[in-house]
Amino acid sequence: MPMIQLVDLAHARSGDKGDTANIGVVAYDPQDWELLRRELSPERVKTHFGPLVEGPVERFELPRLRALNFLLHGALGGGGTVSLMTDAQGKVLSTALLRMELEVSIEVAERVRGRGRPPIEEGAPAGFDAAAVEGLRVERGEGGVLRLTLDRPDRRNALNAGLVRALLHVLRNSSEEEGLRVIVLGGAGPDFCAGADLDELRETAAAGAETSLADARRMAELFLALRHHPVPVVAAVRGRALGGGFGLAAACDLILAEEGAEFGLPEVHLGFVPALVMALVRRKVGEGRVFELAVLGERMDARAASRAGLVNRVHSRAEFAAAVEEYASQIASRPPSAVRLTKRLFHGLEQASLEEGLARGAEVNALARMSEDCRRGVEEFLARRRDR
Amino acid sequence: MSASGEEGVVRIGSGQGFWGDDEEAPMRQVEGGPLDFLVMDYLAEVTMSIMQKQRERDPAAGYALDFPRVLRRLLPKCVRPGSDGNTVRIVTNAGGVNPRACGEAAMGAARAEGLADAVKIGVVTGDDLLNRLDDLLQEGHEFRHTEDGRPLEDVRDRVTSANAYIGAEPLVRALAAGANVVIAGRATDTALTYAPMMHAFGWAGGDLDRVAQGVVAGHLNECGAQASGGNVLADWWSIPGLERIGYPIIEASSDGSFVVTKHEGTGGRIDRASVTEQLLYELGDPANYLTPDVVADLTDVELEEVGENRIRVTGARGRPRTDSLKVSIAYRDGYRAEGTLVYAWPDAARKARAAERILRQRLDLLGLRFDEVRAELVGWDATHGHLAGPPPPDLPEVQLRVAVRGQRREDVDRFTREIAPLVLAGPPSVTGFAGGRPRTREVMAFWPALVPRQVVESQLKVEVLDATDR
Repeated sequence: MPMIQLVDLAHARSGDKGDTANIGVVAYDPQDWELLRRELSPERVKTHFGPLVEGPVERFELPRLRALNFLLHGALGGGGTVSLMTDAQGKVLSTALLRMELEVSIEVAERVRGRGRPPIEEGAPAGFDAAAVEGLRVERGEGGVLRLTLDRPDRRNALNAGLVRALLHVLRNSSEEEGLRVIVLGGAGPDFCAGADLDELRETAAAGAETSLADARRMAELFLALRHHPVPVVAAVRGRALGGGFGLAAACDLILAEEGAEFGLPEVHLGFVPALVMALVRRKVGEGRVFELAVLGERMDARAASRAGLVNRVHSRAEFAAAVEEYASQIASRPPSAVRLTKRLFHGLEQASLEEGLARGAEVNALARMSEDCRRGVEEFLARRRDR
Repeated sequence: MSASGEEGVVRIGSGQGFWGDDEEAPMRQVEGGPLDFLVMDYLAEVTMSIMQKQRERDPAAGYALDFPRVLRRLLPKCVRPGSDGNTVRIVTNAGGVNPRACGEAAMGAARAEGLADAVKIGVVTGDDLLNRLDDLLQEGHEFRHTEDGRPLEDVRDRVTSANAYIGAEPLVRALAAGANVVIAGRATDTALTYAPMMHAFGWAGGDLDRVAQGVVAGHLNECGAQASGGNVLADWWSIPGLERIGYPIIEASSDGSFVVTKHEGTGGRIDRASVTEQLLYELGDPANYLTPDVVADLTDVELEEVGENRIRVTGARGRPRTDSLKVSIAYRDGYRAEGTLVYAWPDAARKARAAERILRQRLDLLGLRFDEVRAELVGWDATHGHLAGPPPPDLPEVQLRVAVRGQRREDVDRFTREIAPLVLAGPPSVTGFAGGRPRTREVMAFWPALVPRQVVESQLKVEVLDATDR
């Protein structure tokens, strides 16, 4: 099940009474009130804050406001003017609670994601919100193109927690942006992405099962965020895309590769398993080939990947950058509502039987007919035919 | 009852959420549309002890000094009927620990505007227990700390202020006596709003549910713009016009229901989200909201959007008040100081942590004694602690903030001289010391206690000052 942060499910305000802080938590949507009530037990809140709250945590319910009120005793370092804390009156303690991660259904996750954060500003300068995008370069191109570049070339753009979080943050924040047409995901330096950051992998393994699982889930969430983003995402792969990096490319809707690019699953050489990427890679490449890649830990080059159906197009080194630009602007030039509906339907068909698939297709067909883009497109086509 | 607008509705606007709030806000309230009462809250716990110190230095001080100046601007708008034939009456706790002096200063403001003949100022006294404290202790009132049960004797010699939280009754009396401006000391923040309702609708103490609704109205009014779009987390990026934010206005009806709204043409937002956030602010057990006049139960409070920037509030219930009043006592509890330095990339956080370590070692070597030494990295963990996770090596900068608290003034003073040396003798890439040496400040701690209500109520006094007073 996907993870979300409480910040997307509820808003909150906190204040003080002596050394006790209160945090009022309010569900944005009435239908999430029961979920909030179930998940936010006083014990869970106490555990979340750990050493930050010395005393007990009490909880009160205000059902008609779909709100919970928590009293955190011994949370303010003595309170008032005795406390040496910057936040001696607990004014922003509520935001620390909103960091809490909750496991929810896919339906809830999709509905609430990004709810609690402002959308990316239209025409914001490149590098906006720098604190949140550690290791990730964010640039805006002409005509609704958003360019994301993994920017840790000294680590071959390995995915650490910060980078995964940054990608998630940008994907979520851009998901409601109207003018956005296409996202291009690439890597700085000679390689696309070498997969998980092994230093970090070692650390999380040492920190225990729960930390490892949370870390792995975030990666899974990133893959889903790419698939569920309303606009097409194009992976521009130069050099190596290995392990999680291969998964990252496979989670994109389209892959462009530079000649010399390599895709592979070397995990087995480390005694590790390409577990998370398997689900994605299997969808893009035939079963036998993927099994072989995973068990032998081999790589395949751009041409082979193209033949296997993984890569959409291969370009020479000299023309790669320009070809990616051109490709993105072509997608951006297509009627946006049709492109978005196509992507939604395409991934929606994943688990569907033929009957379900056709039923869903009929709905999208009807929706598309009524769109402004379609009306205009059909008018223009008919007008051209008359003119001939 | 109301001279303005809708039949039977009394409009009570919030004009100030704390001492230091926007001085233009009360003007916007009286100029922006119909209003019957303007309530201005000036007091927080720490304010009382500051005012007590001011009164020690000057017997004519000890109240919110800004109030007479603001009042001078307000009076011409409030006392002379506007185009709608309406006047506005002001209810405030600006009196602090010296309501009488505040009342005289207010009368001075009226005189300066040539309005002395048109103004009556009600002054409420009797909440200040500082001078009675020893007598009361002698009589057997122990003022035990409500949280840990210690008797006040433990800190008696360090007490700097002691005020009982008083309710609406004396405020209502002042309004009934015809006061245009009612000035109290430690009247509760919420009473400032429901006293006008009790006065206007003739509610008695027995109208428990209505007074409980009044408490909710007061809770929404007491923090000024925090109910009307200020400091609101939900969709904060889309809340318009905060530079001219409209403060909340309660449109009260005699049955206790009310609509919270703001003047047309002002900024901010009043919707479910903003009103809910303020309802929850500083809330304890919602079923037991204790006030001097009623125990309010907010569990089933309901909000309904009845128009743009209009939320109707119903559902609070009341139970009889308790036999005691809360007393807020401030006492001296040592000294504190805090110093900051800024460290830059690369490895800003590690440099700041190294500086902290060196500073702690130096404080030890000097043999200084503190009750607490706290270090935070502002820009990383100051507000979220360990929940912020480990700082990334690429953090562009971070501010090291070290604060100490202790009983010996000389030790805290010495700490203030230990920050600057780190600039030349500590880890590199450090700046931000332009503010100079930190200042040692006295710590004022609070001692919440209870006292039987008749101890205070027997001494409550309402005076009405008018043009004949000098």
